[in-house]
Amino acid sequence: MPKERVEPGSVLIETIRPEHASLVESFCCGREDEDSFLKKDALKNKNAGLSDTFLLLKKDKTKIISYLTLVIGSFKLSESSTIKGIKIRDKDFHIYTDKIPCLLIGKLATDKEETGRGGASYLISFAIEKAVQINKTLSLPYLALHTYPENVEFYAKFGFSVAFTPERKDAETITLFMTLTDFLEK
Amino acid sequence: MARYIKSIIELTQSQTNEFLANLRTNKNEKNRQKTIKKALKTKFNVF
Repeated sequence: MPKERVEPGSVLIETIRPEHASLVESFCCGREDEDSFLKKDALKNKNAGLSDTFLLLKKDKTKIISYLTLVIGSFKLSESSTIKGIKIRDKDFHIYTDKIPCLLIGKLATDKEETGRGGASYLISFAIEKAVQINKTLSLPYLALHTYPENVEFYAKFGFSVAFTPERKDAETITLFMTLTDFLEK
Repeated sequence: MARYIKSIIELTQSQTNEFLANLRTNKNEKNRQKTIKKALKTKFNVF
C-alpha cells in the first residue's frame, strides 16, 4: 500500500525546542551522523546562534518525519576573481570581500519509517521559500549543500547543480548549489 | 549530507573559475524553475 504523501495540511514545521526532546530521542534515520547531530548538537547549535533546525512533524505532533538544518554559509573565491564585472577584493571598488553568501542546507534527514512520503522534498521546498523570503531584505542569492556523490542525482531532480569539481577524485562529498536571483522581488 | 556542516566553502582558482561559469549556465534549469515555482506556491505551517 503506497504511503500517504506529505501535504501542507497533514504536517507542521517547528523550530527545535527543549519540549521536542522525546520526539528527537525517538528519531532514527539510520545514519549515525544525522541521528547524532539531531540528538546532541541541533538544539545547542541553535541556542549558540550557529544553525537553525526545523522539524517536520505529523500534525498530531506524535512523530518527526524529517528534519532540516539551515546555516548561513559562503563560497570563498580565490582572490583575483571577477563576478558580474566586479573584481573581488579590489580596494578601488571599495569591495574587499572574497565571500559570496549562501543559505546552506547543513543537514536533511528522514526517519526510516517515514521514507517515501516526500518529507525531504517538502523541506527542500521550505528552504527555498525561506531563502527567497530572506532575499527580500538581505542578499543571500544561492542555496547550497554538500552531499555524498551517490546522492547528487537526487538533488539534481530539484534543480541543484554541481558547484565545482572537487580537488581530489575520491572526495567524500560534492558541493551543489541553486541560484535564486531570478525569483527575487526586491 | 556531509558529516560536518562546512559553512565556508573555500575554492581554488580553477574551482572559482568553474563555479563562476556554472553560475551563468545552470545544467538543471528546467528542474530548478519547477522546484522554485512549486516552493513559492506552497503555504508552510511554521511554528
